[in-house]
Amino acid sequence: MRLLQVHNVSIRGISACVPKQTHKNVDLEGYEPEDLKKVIDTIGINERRVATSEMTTSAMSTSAGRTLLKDLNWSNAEIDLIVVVTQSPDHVIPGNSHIIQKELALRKDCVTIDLNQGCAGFIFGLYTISQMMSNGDHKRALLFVGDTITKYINPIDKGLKALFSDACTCTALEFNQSASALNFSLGSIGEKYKVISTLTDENNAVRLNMDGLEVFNFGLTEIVPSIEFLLGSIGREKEDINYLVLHQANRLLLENIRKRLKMEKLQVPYSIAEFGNTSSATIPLTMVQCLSEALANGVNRLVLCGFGVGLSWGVVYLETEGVVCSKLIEI
Amino acid sequence: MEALDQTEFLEFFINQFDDPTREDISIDTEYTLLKDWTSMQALIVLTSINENYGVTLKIEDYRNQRKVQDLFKLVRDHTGV
Repeated sequence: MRLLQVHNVSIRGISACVPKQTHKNVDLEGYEPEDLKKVIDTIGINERRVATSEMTTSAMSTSAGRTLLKDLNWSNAEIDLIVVVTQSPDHVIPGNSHIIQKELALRKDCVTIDLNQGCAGFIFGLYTISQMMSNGDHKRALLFVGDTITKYINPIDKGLKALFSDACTCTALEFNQSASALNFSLGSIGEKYKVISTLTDENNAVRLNMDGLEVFNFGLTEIVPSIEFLLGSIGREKEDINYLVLHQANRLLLENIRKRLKMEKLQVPYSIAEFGNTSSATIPLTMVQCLSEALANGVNRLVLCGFGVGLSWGVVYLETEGVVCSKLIEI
Repeated sequence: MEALDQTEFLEFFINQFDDPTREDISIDTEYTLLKDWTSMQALIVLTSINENYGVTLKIEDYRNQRKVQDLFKLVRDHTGV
């Protein structure tokens, strides 16, 4: 593992957009009542947000971006760079960054980048965008992270259906020479790429396929050592951390990680009961939904950790001050 | 470190199910044939082994076990006692 440090960049704001359409897990078909109760209790997901067939990742992302620019009182003309992380773009060609650039009327010389990353995508996206900003080439930038992943779920796959949900987020960043360093640790195990992957079925539909036991064991194996490595590398203790925001995979795994790290429940916020596993969006969505007041006030020492598709994982330690979190957008 | 005890492991294993008083599970039970051995139950047992014994198993090894005794031996081999 390596410590990767990025300087001169601050997070200024975060927004999140979810579909209004809510599906309750108690209504899932194909389970015996006692089995369904056990599934819900174990994964900790009561409700999921599901995009309609017309609702696109770019539309939800644009809505998050527009709201955040307004709440920060930033002009679209000030945005020098956008990075878009999604695995459910509107089209195979072009990437969503171009659509978002058009919808937000960003400048022609605003740099537009697309990344294909999954549940660790917020951390990989944050690393990419902050690296591009750290020399001062880009003063203000937006990181869009999110998916309409439910479009890839086979309607008869009751296991995946119970887990996945849709959300898109926008994070605003600013070049700031007095900012404390962003400290990253990133990793991936390419030989396990098939563990979470899409297949094309007999009807030519793209369907998500996941080996649950393998994914789970990956989470048990890699996450705790990665967080401990990162904190050790920068001389921080777990007690120094105000909040650890984990990818909201499922409650069984989250609780295992929290207990092994010996962190208090108040330090590790969950949004999974209301919003399920929104793939790449879970970390910023949890920050907006659970930490908006805390992030707005004073300095916060945060560890953010995403893990999944790849199989890959990313952890960042950062300090924030006065982060504007927009009210959750529902469309 | 104390050696892993087979009787205690059986008790631990039964406790992972909804009814910890059930009497149909012994050390020789082929647990993968139990009606309530589901993919969710497999995740619960895997996680509890990790939390209780500090052991992370290889998934192919975990999938290859059939009887409680086989799983006990696998965990014991990983704990090194």
